[in-house]
Order: sequence, then C-alpha cells, then structure tokens
Amino acid sequence: MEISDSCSFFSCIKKGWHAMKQTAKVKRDSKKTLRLVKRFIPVYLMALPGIIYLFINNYMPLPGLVLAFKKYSTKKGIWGSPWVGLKNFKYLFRTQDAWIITRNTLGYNILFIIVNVVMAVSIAIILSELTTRWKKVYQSTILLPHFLSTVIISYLVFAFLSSENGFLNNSIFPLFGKEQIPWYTEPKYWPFILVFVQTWRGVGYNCIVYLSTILGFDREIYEASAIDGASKWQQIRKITLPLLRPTIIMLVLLSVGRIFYSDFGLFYQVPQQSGVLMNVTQTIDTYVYRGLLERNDMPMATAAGVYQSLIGFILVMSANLIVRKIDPDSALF
Amino acid sequence: MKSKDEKRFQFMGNVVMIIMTILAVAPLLLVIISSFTDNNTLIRNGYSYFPEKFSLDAYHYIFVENPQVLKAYLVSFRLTAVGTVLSLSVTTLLAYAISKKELPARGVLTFYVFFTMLFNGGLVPTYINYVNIFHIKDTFWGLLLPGLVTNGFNILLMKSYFTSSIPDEIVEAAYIDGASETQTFLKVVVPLARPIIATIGLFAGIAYWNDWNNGYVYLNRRQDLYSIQNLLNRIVQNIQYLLQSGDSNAAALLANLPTVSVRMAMAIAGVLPVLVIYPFVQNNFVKGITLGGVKG
Amino acid sequence: MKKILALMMCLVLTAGTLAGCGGGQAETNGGAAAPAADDTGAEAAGDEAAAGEAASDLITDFGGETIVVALYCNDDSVLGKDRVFGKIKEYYLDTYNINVEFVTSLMGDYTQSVNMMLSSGEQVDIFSSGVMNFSNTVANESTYDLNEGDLLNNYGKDIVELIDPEFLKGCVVNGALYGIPCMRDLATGMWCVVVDKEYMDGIDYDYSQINMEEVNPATAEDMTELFTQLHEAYPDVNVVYPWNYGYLGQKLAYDAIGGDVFGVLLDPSNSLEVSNLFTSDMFREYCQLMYEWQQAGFMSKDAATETQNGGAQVIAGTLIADTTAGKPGIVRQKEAERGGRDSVVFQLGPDFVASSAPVGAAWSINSTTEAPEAAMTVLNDLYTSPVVTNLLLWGEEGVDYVLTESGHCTFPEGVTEQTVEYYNLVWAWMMPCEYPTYVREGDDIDLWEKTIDFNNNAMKSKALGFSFDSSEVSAEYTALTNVWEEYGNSLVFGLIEPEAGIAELNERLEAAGLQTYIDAKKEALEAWAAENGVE
Repeated sequence: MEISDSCSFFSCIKKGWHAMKQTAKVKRDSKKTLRLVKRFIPVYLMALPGIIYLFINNYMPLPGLVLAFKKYSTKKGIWGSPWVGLKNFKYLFRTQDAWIITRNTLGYNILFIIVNVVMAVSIAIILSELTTRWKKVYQSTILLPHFLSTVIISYLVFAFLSSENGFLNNSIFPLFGKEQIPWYTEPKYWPFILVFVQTWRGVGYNCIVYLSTILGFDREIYEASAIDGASKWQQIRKITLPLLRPTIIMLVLLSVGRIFYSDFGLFYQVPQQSGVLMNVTQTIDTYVYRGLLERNDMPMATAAGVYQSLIGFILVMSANLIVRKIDPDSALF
Repeated sequence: MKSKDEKRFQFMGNVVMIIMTILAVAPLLLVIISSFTDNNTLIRNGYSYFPEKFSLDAYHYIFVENPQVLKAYLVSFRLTAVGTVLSLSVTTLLAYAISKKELPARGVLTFYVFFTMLFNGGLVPTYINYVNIFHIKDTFWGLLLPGLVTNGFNILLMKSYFTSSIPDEIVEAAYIDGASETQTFLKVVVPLARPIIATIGLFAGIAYWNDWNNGYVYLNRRQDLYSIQNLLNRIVQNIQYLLQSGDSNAAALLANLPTVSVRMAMAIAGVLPVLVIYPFVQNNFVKGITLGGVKG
Repeated sequence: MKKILALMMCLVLTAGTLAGCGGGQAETNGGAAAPAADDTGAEAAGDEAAAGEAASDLITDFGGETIVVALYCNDDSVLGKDRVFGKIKEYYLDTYNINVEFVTSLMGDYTQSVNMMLSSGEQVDIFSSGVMNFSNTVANESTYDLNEGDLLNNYGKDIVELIDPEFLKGCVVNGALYGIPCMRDLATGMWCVVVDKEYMDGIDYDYSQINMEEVNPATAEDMTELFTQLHEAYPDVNVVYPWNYGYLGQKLAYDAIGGDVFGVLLDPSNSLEVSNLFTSDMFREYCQLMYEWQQAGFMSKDAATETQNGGAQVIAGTLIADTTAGKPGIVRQKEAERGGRDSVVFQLGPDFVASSAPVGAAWSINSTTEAPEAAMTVLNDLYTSPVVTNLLLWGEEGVDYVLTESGHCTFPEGVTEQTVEYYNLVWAWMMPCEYPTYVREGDDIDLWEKTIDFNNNAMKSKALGFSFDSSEVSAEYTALTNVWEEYGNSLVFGLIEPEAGIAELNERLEAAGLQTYIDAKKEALEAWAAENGVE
C-alpha cells in the first residue's frame, strides 16, 4: 500500500519538476532575506542543538592548536607556554623521508578513493537491482569486516601470508607448484595487499550510502525507460549514475579533505611493522607515531595534525571551487 | 516476464555478491574457529580451519575470569541505544536545516559543519574543555558526548540526501498548503528520508558500539562504566604490553594465558551481539531501505 | 565575498571568546601555582632560619590535605581494590592526617592518562615520570624540584637513607632533583640466554659445571656450539629467539646515554667519548653472529614478525632458548614464564648500570602541587613503609595473603590466584620500591638483599646522572628513529648480510642527521661533565 502511495505521489510531482527548478533560482533582495529568516526560524531552531554541539566539541578546543607553535609546559599551561615559531614542524620535512611519506600517503589515498568509489558504487547498484531474497544476507555479511579491529585484521592477513604457517605459502601455492613468497620482506606486493585489505574492510560500509541513495530514486523513471526498451546497462549508465553523481562527488570531496591522513592501523599493524617494507608502508601518521613513541611530544604531534589538516583544507577548497564552476549543484557549499 | 538481459544481470549480480560474501565470511569463520583452538596449537601450526585441538580456554578466560564482562555488555547496550537516538536527532535536524536551498546563511552553516571534519583541537585541548568546563569525567556523559556527532561527515551525508532525493517541490507544496516548517519536516521529510535515517542511525550505532577510546580518556575512577569494547581492549592491550615487555616478571603472568586465542575470542565477543541484533534491526528499522528496493 | 567575510567574523569571534576563557583558565592556574611557590619559598627561608634551633618546625599533622597518586597497574579492575585503597588511606590519615587517593591506569595507557591530568590541571600530586619518559616530563616542567626548601631531607628522610646518592643523582637535571629512582634491579645482567633444560637433556648435556639456581658465565662461542648440537638433535624446533632490536641494550654493554642509541658510550665505565654505535666493532660482531645463527638455521625466518614472546613459544614447543636481562631470581622467574619448565641461564656479558637506569621508572611530584610537604611525606612511605607497600602489593593480611613460617607470602587457605579478591593490581617492580615487601613463596627470602648487592656491585657508567633534552634536535631524532626501525630487525635477526646492511644503515642515518645529533649530545655531555667534575 505504502509503496504505491508514495509512487503516485512522486509521479504527480515529477511533472512540474523542470519548470519549478527554474523558478527556484530567483535572485533575492534583502527584504526577502528578512522574510525568509522569519519563515525559517523553526528551521534555525532545529539546527541549534547541532550547532551548539559542534561548537562545544569541535570549536571550543580549537585554540589548542597553538600548541603546535609552542614549547609545552604543563606548569604554565597551553596559554602560558613560550612560543617557538615553526620549530615543531621541522621534523615533518626532514631529509628524504619527507618525500617518501608524502608520496605514500597521497598515493595510497588517491588509490583508495578511486577503488572505493568504483567498488562501492558497483556493489550498491548490483544490490539495488537484485531481486533475490538473498540480497539482505549479502548486504549484512559484507558489512562484517567493518566490525573487526585492525589488530585482528592484521592477524588474519598474517594467517594468509606468513612464511611458516601461511595459507598461501603452505596450502595454495603448492597446489599450483608455485614457489613460496616471503611476503613480509617483499615491498613490491604491498601496495596491492594494502589496497585489497582496505577495500575488503570498507566496501560493505561504503556501499550503504550509495545504496540508500539509489533506493531513494523514483522507480518510475526506470519503469518508463524499461518500457522504452532500455537495457539494464543503459539504465545504469543513463539514470542511476547521473543521479548518483552529487553523492559521489560529495564523498570524494570529503575524502580529499582527509588526503594527508592515513589509517594508522592499516599501515602499521597489517604489515606487522616490518622494517623492510617501510619504503612502501610508511605514511605521515606512522612516521609521526614511530618518531614520537618514546618522546611523547605533544607540540610535535599537534604540528603534524595542523599540517595534515591544512593541506587537506586547501585541497578540498580548491576542488570544491572547481566543482562549483562545472556543476554548482554538486558543490559542498 | 523477465527479459534475457535482466536474467543475465541477475545471474552475474548474484555471482559477484556470492564471491563478496565468501570473502567477508571466510576470514570471520577463521576468527571463530581460532577462538576455539588450543593456544599452543595456534602458536605451533598457525591459524587453521581444521585445527588439531579445540579448546574453550579463551572463552573461559573472558567470561569466567573477568566477572565484569556482563556488566560491560549492559553499559554498551545502554550507550548504543541512547547514543544512537541522540546522535540521529541532532544530525537529522541540522542536516535538514542546511539542506534548505533558500535558507539564509546556509553556506556559512554548511562550512561551519564541514570545517569540523578537517580541524579539531586535538585530544588534550578537547579533554581540558570537557573536563574543566563541562565536568564529564567519570560519568556516563564522558562516553556519550565526545562521540555524539563524530564529525561533520554524517551531517553532510544526510544533507546531500535531502538535497538530491527529496524534491524541494514536495516540501514547498506542503508549506504552501499551510503546513508549518515543523509539520513539513515531521510529516513529509522524515518519511521520505527513511533510507538515509536508517543508514545514519546504523553508522551512529556502529560507532557507539565499537568505541573504546572515550572510556580510556574519560574514565579513571569508574570501572563500572567500562563498555564491552573498552574492557576487551584493555585486556588485549595488557596482553600485548606483556608480550612485548622483556621483563620476565611481566611475562610470567602470561604463561597460563591463551594469548592468541583470547584475542580471537575477544573479537567474537565484541561482534556477537551485533550479529544477533543486526538482522532484527534490518527487518524493522531498516525497512525503509528494503521496501524502497522492492519493485512496484 | 560577503559569505567569506561573515565566516571570518564568526571565526574571529569564536577565537576571541575562546582566548577569553582560555586566558582566564591560565590565570587561575598561574594563580594557584604562585601562592604555592610563595609558601614554599617562605617556608624554605623559615627553615633556614630555624634549622639550627629545632627540627620540630616540620609539619606532622597535615590537616586532612588530599594527595592524589597516579599508579600504573597490571589489572585495575581487581575486586578488592577499593577495600585495600581504603586501608592505605586509613594508614595515612592515622599517621599524618593526609587523605590519600589513588587513580589507576593500565601500563599501556598511563602516559596519555597522566599527561591529560597534568595538562588539564586536575589534581595529581605523585606520578611516575620515568614511565612517561623522564626527560620529557622535565622538559615539560611537570616535575617539582625536590631540593627546593630541602623538601627531600625534611620530609623524605627514609628515602635519603634508603637510596645510594649515586643513584639519586641520576635524577638531577641542571642541579634540580626532579624525581626519585624506582628501587628495584637497576643493573642489568647483560646478554643472558635461557635454555629449556628438557632439550639439553636430550643432547646429554654435561651439567657438572652448571649452577641450576643462578646464572652461568659463558661466551658466544659456547652458545654457538650448544645451539649447533641442539639444532642437530631438534631440526624442526627453532633454537633461539633473541628478541627484537629494541632489546639490543640488554645484550651489548654500551651506554645509550640520554635514553637513545644515537650517540653512545662504547666503553662506559672508562670513557665519556660519544661514538656512533652502528660503526662500532661491538655492533658489527653482534650482527655477524646473528647472521651466522640465522644462516645455520637456529632462528626462525619469521622472527622479525613474531608476535609471541619467548616463553609462549617455548611452552608451545616451537622454541628452545630466548634471551633476557639477568638479575637475582631470574631463573625462577623465567621458569614461571615458561609454565614451570626447568631452564638453564647463561650470561654472556657483565652486570651493568646504564646512565639512564635510575630515571627509567622514577617517581616525581607534580610541579603544580599545592602541598609539596604532604606529597613528599606520602612518597616517603610509598618507598619505605612495610605497611603501605605490602598493602599495595599483596592486600590485607589474612584476607588476601598470609605469611608462611619462613616469612614468604602466600594465599590464605581456600583461596587461589583466581578467587582471591586483591592480587596482581601491581607487581613488586611497578611500585616505587620493592625492598620493604614480602617475597612470594618460591623466591629467595633474601631476594631484595641480593638485588641491592647486585645493583651496588655492577659496573657503572661514568655518565650516571646525565640526561639529555633532545628537543633542540627533535627533527633529527624522529628521522633517526624511523631509519633505525627500518633496518633494526633485519640486522638483529640476521636477515640481511651485515657488512652491506650496516653500511646502508649508516648511510641512511648520516642522511637523517646522525652527526648533528651526536654533536649535540657530545656538547651536552661535556657541559655536564664539567659541571659535575667527571672526567
């Protein structure tokens, strides 16, 4: 009952869609703004709890970032500690390491973004189109890896890759007469392994957003196109993907903001902290962790965070600017 | 009648999903089996689907030697329930507001939310703020508040859904029909947004269930408030510390502890309730998602 | 543009309000600290004036002052915790009228937890600066100078009596005493190898020269010979697990001055020359030996990614020997670690006290404490009072433990390790001082006397008392640490050819600024030596 109700509701609305879209974009004058503010008072009130919460949780501690420019003293407190300029940032740019950690962090993140989008969107489309009763089972099982901690995942990877007892080396390779591979001392395999593990762990979670978005689409568009003789593939290409575009762009933009951050556990625990692999597994976060583990230097740790956020901020703002030029509706703001 | 094209798609789709399912389930099965494997067998032979020797030591250690475990489950359930409801309300309301295209200052508000995704004051300033000004240390609030809207991500996600999947025209029509903003929101928007509300609710629930860090940071004197993930993490970290410590004083205590299988059992103990509850959540609460998927 | 302007305004306003509250907070902090400092200053002056007349000026009743102690624990969820803490509180109230409270964190969590309490101004008066990295807490000005107002001499008399001044001076930085060394085994029996006896029986080992209760001196050649025989007899079992690169300092008797391996004393009992460990013969020979052992098949090829400790591997039957740091009672301890299996311990190096040993687990008083006298008094009894230390370690007598006729500690009848209410919250070595405590059944009754002798008789570094603040060369430090982590395990597990590996390591370390770092250390050490009259 409910379904057909909402469907007819949709079709009713659809007719006026394009015409109204045009009229919505009327320039406003200040009088109108005032009227709008008045009209939207309840809406502002709705936003208030969230605004207050974010203020308390995220904005109030923000001045603490000055720690990155100080020599910290618990006696004098964050405010009373003396300034040291950019000294705490120096270690992030030291010698050849700086290039490697930046290259790895950026490279992996770009790979992750691409692979994640492709995989999550594909899975979401498949799930949305499947008619079998099993789809619920599929959907919940692929979410399971998300619940495993990185430490457990690192054990699982070890179970497959270790030279003494690993499945690959001891059970699978002999079947094909292949030589053993000492995975934890061969850097060349790790870019693939890390991308695989990251995708495997995240795809179930990532596809939920796309799935729920697709399921919000008006089914009648699909039915109409099916009557017109469109194939499944054409429907996906001509209807689903274009409609998904804003969501995809938004998620990519948000990932760009985190592009200088890396999943610490993935790069530290999953390779079993193997030093030989560091050329391909060292990222900004693991470098900072290893460097500060013994010293526990708060200003230096803060400096790393400021650096990561700042670069991410600049990148995402630029990307957003470009998006706004090309496709204003998809821009973040 | 289904076309050939449709049939082929269904077949391929099922194949892909079956592969994905196996990829997800097989490692989990390994975790389950390992948690029931004798510890020495694990160290000697590595992880195996067909272990030489089974043992219940790991579960005995968790559930019998740590009497706190059941209490911790209760804390986790309470935290997840309260946290999800609160988080979902705050997120939905704010997301709806910034999704309104005509709302004055919408851009500023969106940026206000977005900014929190990139910058935060760091652990210590956040801690100082919460402890000195809001006094949440050693209270239930300490578990609840710091993760309420983890960052702007969920808000922006929901906002994007509102803008892309809920036509302004419907909302506008309701408003013109004389419904107040609040009524429009409750009667028109919320029902239409069920898929995303279910999704964000799920995300928030997962985040609360999995969170162990707030317990570390904000609880010093209240062991009775440890959530299950926090408690399990403490046990695991302690084992880890002992294993890596060269001090034989420390290592002596590990002699009788199933160090490897315990960790596997911990993972299961943490996921199990989710596995049990998730199907019900999916059946009822997430009906929004599945209903939308059924072809009319 | 307008939007951006509005946004900026918003941010500026936010920052303004915050700066406002932050500033207020700083003021109150400063306000709280200042009078305290004045007090002690006044008292110090008063003490000086009155010193000749009477010592009775010292406070004996602290009027219920609250002192918070941050403990690091093994298991902070033991059932009897509140009961036993209550007893300790009672003791302090009755004796000094001080209200002692404990906050507990697990070891892995201690640093972060205490750091946040220190930063936020929450009350914490006594904490282990050693566990948190001593030089870091000193650099952060978190520690109180215990010489100020003669605090230690006035309120820590028993500590002064207990601790050898030579160890105490290990916690002195720029003339200020910032902590008290933790009193346990400060010396390390270098490079001990622990071999499971069952396997030695299997090769008909000749035990005539072996002392089963203590460590036996041996050489690397002896070990290679023993391992060769063991490997022949048990080809499927790994012979030795020498622990990862982090434990190099338990094997080679260099002194990692300042607590890191970048710039060390190679001959610490004779010379203050700061050298590069990684170009030394000592390091090269060690890597060479490990490489030979790896080539001979004594070690697992997976040793670098091993997640189990030596004991667990021995119990599981995959390992024969591992290495450890020696000390009195080590044999019994290693046997306990191996689930009671008999073991033979060999020692290949000397007994040695490194310059950083005294600060390793030192305890300090918070620089912002409002009652330094009360805190010192509490700390004094945490080190020396049998009542306090035994309560903390074993709980209540008769309830949680009983004493045997020989004076050992054991569980009361009908109570086991599993069912006892208070056990394992801390271990003896985690407390400020283990000497006043009862020893557990199975240990030598004179274990602590032996430990004291062990510390006193060991070879000591000339740099004992030197500490290094690396904050001026922190960029080099982080880079060096990362390079060492990249190569460390490959070398100490003999996975790469040592000549080439060491050359590459040194090249990378040079690029990361090793020389700059060593020079900074050299300069600091020379200044310290001049100031303290060490040659």
